[in-house]
Formats: sequence, C-alpha cells, structure tokens
Amino acid sequence: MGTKLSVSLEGALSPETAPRTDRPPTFDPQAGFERPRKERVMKATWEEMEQFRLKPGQRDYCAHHLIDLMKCQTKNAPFAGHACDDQRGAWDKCEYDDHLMRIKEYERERRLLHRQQRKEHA
Amino acid sequence: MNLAPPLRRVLAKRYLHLTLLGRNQRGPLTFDGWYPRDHKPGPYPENDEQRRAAATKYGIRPEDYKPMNKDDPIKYAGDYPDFGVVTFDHKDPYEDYSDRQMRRNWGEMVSIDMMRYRPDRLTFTGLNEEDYTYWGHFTIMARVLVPMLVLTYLFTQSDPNIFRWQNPAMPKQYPYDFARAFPFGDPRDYPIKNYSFDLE
Repeated sequence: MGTKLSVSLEGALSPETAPRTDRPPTFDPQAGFERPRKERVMKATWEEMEQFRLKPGQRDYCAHHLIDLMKCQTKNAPFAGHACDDQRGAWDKCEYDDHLMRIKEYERERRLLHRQQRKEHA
Repeated sequence: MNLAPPLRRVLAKRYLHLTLLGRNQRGPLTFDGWYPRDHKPGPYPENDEQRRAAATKYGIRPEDYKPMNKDDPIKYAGDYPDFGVVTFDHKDPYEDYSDRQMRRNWGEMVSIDMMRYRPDRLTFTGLNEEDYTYWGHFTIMARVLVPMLVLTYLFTQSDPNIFRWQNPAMPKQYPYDFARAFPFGDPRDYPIKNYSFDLE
C-alpha cells in the first residue's frame, strides 16, 4: 500500500513519531471517527475451536472459515484435491483483510503521532 | 619468456642439423604419441618423386605442395605440407561448406595449426599483453565486488527499524489475551475488545 521503504526510513530518521509495532496502538480506538467503529465479533465458539484443536495463533477472527475448511477436508478425506478451494479461498481472504486492517492501524497510529507532535510544537 | 616474435625465431633457428643423430628433435614427430599409424607424416621428401607421392597422399597439387622447413625446430613435421596461416576468418563466408561451423569441406586438407585457428577461439596469440593495465584489471573486479559488498551490507542490517521492505503493520488482533493466560490460565478470562474500520 505504498508504505514500504519510505515509512521505515522515516521511522528510522525520526524515531519519536514512529509507531511501535511490538505493542498495541496507544491512542483511543474511537478517536477521530465521525461515527463509532464497529466491534469485531468472534463467529466461532470456543467449544468449536477446542473440538477442532486450533492452535492459539489460529483462534482469531477468521477461525470460523478455518473450521469450515477443516470440516470440508474431513468430509472429502483422504484426497480432497480442489473440493475445498472455496473454503480455503474464504479463509485466505479473511486473513488478508485482517492483515490490511493491521496495516491501516499502523498508518492511523503514525498519523496520530504526527498530529500529536504538531500540536505539541504549535 | 615474453620474447618478441622475430627475436624468438632468430634464437630458435638451429644452426646445426642434429635431427639425423636422433637428438634435439622437436616438433610433432619427435614422440610416439597419439598418431594412428597411418596418420603419422612420412619423412621429409628429398627428390621430386617423393614430393609428388607426398602431394598425392595429401590430396593437393604437386605445384602447391610445400613441406615444412627442415630447419624449423618447432614446426618441422616431415612431409606434412605448409599452408601458412589459414583461419576461419580468412575463408569465404558465403561459400557452401559441408561443415559450416568450421568453414571446411569434407576431406579438405587442414594446416597443422588448425586447432590453434579454430573458429571458437577469441584470439590466436593469447591475451594481448600490451592491452593489459592494472587499473583495467581492478575495474573489472571492482564493478562486480563493490555492488556485491554494498548490497550484502544493506541486506544484513539487523536493526529492524531501518530498511524495512514490508508494509509495516501493528500486531495481530486476537479476541483473547493468550500471552497473559499462558501457561495455566484460561484465555476466556482475559477478553480483548477490538474494532474494525467499518463504521456503524
């Protein structure tokens, strides 16, 4: 999304306005939006995730797609081939959208930090 | 031994025929080597009859036949003919050869230096020594090694805050705090509220 080398160089040159990627965002999540943001809801229940023995890293907001995929795989076992491509694509798309949201969070954090610095120096 | 060619020829010329004594033989006939018996050149032709026979053997006209100089210790080759310098580039490029890659017809007589003047060679005399310069040598090496070293330095920087080629992203959002619950807690005791970018 155009934030490859330029943003990292900018972060290296002025570290005080560079967002930290090893911790969650520091600003209020609802700041700056004209209407409140929707909350992210888990569509897969904890019991389902336990039943399919998902790893902790897989128990995110896309777990329901993964569970559908696993059900399809067990149904078509042992040779699923391309029978589960739809479910796999849905899971991949959900994960991709989640990654885009992470990038957007970074960009939001970066702009809020720049704004904060501008207000301090104004 | 980087002698200039004329000086080397003068020094290499023999002034005493020791070939007949079986010593100081040089050139391709001094060793039993890789010649099949019928391919080894015969002795130097003395009279006209031997010259005609040799010319017939090699398939060239008697008036064209000229053996290697007997006194030349490097090139002396019995009755093998001397064609001078015949290279790929000398020959007609538009003639219809049977071996087009070598520009030679089948059964055509080749000079004894044929392997030296092959078409797939870049030079006949080795490196042009007068064209070699130390600075040119250094340039050829440096224009490969310097970019290599620069890129190695750039790509092996361990500081994660510089030269990041990926899109920078915040940490992944999970519904529960798994790290806080590790190892024996239940993550359901530590839920996290996360928001998407969709507005109500």
